[in-house]
Amino acid sequence: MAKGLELLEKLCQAFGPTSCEYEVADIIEAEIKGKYDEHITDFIGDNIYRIKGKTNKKLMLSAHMDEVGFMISSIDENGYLYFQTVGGFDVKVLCGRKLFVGDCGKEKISGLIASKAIHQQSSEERGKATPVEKMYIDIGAVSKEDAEKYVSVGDYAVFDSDFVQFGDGMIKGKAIDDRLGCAVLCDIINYIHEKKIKPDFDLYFCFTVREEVGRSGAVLAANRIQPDMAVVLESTAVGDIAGTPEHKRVAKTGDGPTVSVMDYGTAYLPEMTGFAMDIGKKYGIPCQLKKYVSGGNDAGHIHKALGGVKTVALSCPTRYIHSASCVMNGKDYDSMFELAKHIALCKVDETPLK
Amino acid sequence: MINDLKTIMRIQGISSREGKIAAKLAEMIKPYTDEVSIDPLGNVIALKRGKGKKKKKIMFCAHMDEIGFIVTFIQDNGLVRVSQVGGINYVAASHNYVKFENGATGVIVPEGKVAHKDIAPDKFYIDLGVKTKKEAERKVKIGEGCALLSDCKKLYGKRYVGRPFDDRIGCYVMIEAAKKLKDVKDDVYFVFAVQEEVGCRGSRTASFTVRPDIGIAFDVTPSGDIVGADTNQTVKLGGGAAIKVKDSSVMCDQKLVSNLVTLAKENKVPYQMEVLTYGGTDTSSMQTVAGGSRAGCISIPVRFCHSQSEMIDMDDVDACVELAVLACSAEI
Amino acid sequence: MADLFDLASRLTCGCSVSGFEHGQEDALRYIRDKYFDEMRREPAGSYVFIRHAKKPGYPRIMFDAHMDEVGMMVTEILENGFLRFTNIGGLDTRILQAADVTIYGKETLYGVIVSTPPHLQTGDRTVLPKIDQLMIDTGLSKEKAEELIPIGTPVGYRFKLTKLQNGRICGKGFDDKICAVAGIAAIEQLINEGYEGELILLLSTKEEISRAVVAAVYEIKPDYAIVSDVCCAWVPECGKDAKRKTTVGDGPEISLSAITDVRLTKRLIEFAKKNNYKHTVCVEATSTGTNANDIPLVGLGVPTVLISIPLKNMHTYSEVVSLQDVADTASLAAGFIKELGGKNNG
Repeated sequence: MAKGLELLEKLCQAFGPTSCEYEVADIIEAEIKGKYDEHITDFIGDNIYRIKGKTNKKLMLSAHMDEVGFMISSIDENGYLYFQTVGGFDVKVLCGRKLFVGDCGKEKISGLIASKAIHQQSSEERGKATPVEKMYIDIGAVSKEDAEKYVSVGDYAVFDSDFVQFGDGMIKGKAIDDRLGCAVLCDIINYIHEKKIKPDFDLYFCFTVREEVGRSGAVLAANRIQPDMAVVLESTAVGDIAGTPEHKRVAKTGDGPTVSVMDYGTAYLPEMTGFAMDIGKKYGIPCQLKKYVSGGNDAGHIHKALGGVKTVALSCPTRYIHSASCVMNGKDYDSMFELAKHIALCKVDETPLK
Repeated sequence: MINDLKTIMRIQGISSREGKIAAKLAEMIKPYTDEVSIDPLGNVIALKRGKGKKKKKIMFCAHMDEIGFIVTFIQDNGLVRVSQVGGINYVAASHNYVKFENGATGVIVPEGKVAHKDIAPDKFYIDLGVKTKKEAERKVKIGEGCALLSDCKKLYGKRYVGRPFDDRIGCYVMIEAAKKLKDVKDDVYFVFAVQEEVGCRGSRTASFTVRPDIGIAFDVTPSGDIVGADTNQTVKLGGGAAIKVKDSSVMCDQKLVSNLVTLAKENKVPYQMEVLTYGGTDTSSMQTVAGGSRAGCISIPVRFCHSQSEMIDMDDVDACVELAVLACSAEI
Repeated sequence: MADLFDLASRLTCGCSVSGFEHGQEDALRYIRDKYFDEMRREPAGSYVFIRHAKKPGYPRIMFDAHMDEVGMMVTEILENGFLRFTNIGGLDTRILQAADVTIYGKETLYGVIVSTPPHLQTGDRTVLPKIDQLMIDTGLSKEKAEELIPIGTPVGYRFKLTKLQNGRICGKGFDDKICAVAGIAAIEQLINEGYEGELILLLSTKEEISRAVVAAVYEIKPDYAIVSDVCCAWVPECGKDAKRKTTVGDGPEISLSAITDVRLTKRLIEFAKKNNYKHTVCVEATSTGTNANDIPLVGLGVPTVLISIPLKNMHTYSEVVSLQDVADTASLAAGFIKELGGKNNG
């Protein structure tokens, strides 16, 4: 397995729902220890690593550490846990899923989202998705008191899903959104360190928090750094599955990262979209325009920060995003790394800043 | 005068693709201001320096972007799929000509068998008149923007019809006001903002840069004198400058509103009050960005907003210009 | 302890419809003179009260409650002086018909929202009219109404602050001025106990519409924010199986949320448990529906906790709270401010 994928696996397996990203942050810190000039953290948990450049133009590269998850909201007398979702879910991917329940610094225990047997469902219930309010988590507890030995209200849960390589170079795992971006950023830091490169841009690698709930730590990171330009590394949902009309497929896994034209959070400046595509072309890196307007990411916060920041988003095409089994193509990891690396290392004069 | 309006109406600039219209507006405002700059997102920020002591900063803001579409996909048969940029009225847009940034034209149509109530962005496509994907790709590219044809025609008397009056008419009001302003006491910033139609984004970053004490937006408001308007909508076309009290994004600064009303009354400028139960404008960003400002809005009544046939009355426009000039000369 | 009923009646009597909070100025001056060194009005309308530190080295702690409330606004004057109106903030249309209102025009006027007499109603009589179908009866002629009531005039509920049993009170605008009362009581308690750190009370505006709070917080740059708002109390219609059963009398409710500050909130809960402060805990994973949504991400960020006071009949003219809950909220906030301000707790 390639070095990058090993790190990706480690990151995907980490427990890191919104506002509980510490485990992910620790893995990242260990991975890139001593390879940066400055480490800045803020109170909500953003981690910013700076590698000084030749110029004072600041480039912010950002990926979010949090994953979608659940927060325990109450425990009933039978020891079942009720929850609220933290991040957007399609309820149809929840029933029967195995979870880890816990909190930062606390032992994680296994649980599952219960689903009553088909035999017990009434005819109205059959064929219908169970609403989230009716779902609950079973950890095997026998009573409220028993459950409270392991879990408190406010604890989190995330999917329990292994990291698997399958098919023709495909990868399946949880939290590829956006541990993939984190892994790519780490790899770029490693690369710069190994090759002893002095970049042109003053580089700020931002591992941000709280993206999945839309009130993102990227805002604070951007306010602090005051970047001249920003690159957001993300995952994007794609519909390249059989039977989908071509114009709704968004992008194709294996064809490289998508460069966003527009999403619900950002109308990207054409010069920025063009710049990223041109870098791809120049170095022969597979990349594609995102051929649909959907979703949103940290670019939505960063480009509006302060007096405005020229921003581009590169996203790894990912199927079944926000489920326990996200699927991506291993090749896209390499393409994403190459494209982001070349953007990070390009000269200020080669960018839309000049 | 009216030719200036026609000029800025005819330059396309959908949200995030305002380069050309920005250049034109910068050129037009330049002779009447001391400094013009363009910020990272593309906002045009022009400053007319005040001569007074203890100057305040007044920020005028109109957005220069317009609603439109961007190409998301080109089918094998050369038909072009698009997504909306801003709030499109799909019934109004159906079966119209569209023009691309590069000059190419096409017609935008809904898929067959789609009922009006089910019309949605992904049920729309553009026919460029080509036969193949290759031909289509020679004309347009993914990510390219287009909009309904722009136009500005006199209909009768002082009423003009066309698009996009939202919000080039606000830009026009600011330019006319700048022409009339002689020496001013306070610093007056004329901001032509980007990306209002996708969520007042440009005015956020511009407000952060300018940090105004007082912010006044110039934007259109739907006029209520049309058949089937909400009973609550009382702004009339030809009723004068509409002084905004609220919309669903903002409660305007009360003192600013009452000062504008007093100014209009004392100087016999036709005005009316605007209480809008929906919608949003750049006023909200000016009010809340950074330390915030006392913000309000002078609205230009428009009928049939976001359609091919937006209608304005030049008497209203003149009233807005006059009120804008007065706002710079008095303590507001 | 401060006279909570007196403070509540001072703060809730004037006009404070979102965007028109001017009716409060007497009360605000009273609060400034009694507890603070400084009061200023922010450009976006919020009021900031500051009590300077008596010694250096304390963190900047801000207590936020919003001082605006839901209400109505006149959109058109009709024949016989009837007024068409729209809502400011979320109004419950069940309680509007035949309700008494106060019209804050050039003069303060009395009005009644119309109710269609039964013989004129057609169709399904259980369907509630939409707000733009309702009118306010001013009893004035059209001319007189036009003279006294400009379009855009705010309208508020008319009410009388009433004492119920067991220290519960009934009135309007408790959302969120009862939390302001709690904040003031907390600050009075801190003053009496000789707390020497800086104390900031932010009475923010326009919460019901546009969250103008962010502008004020940007200028204040606090180290910590304690936001207090009201929360819907459990009532029988919620059903026995409701997950959230906090009700009036249960004491302040602390919100655990991924978007405020989990660590600071947990510290607050620990603190409350250890020192036996009455409280409950609820989970609002991704949105609290209050200023606590926005404050954490202002500027370089503000660690924020949310403490709510349970309230029945929210957004009506008969909101009910327990003064004991208010007192408990005040002591919890005061205790936690001291905890945060303690020299060794940075």
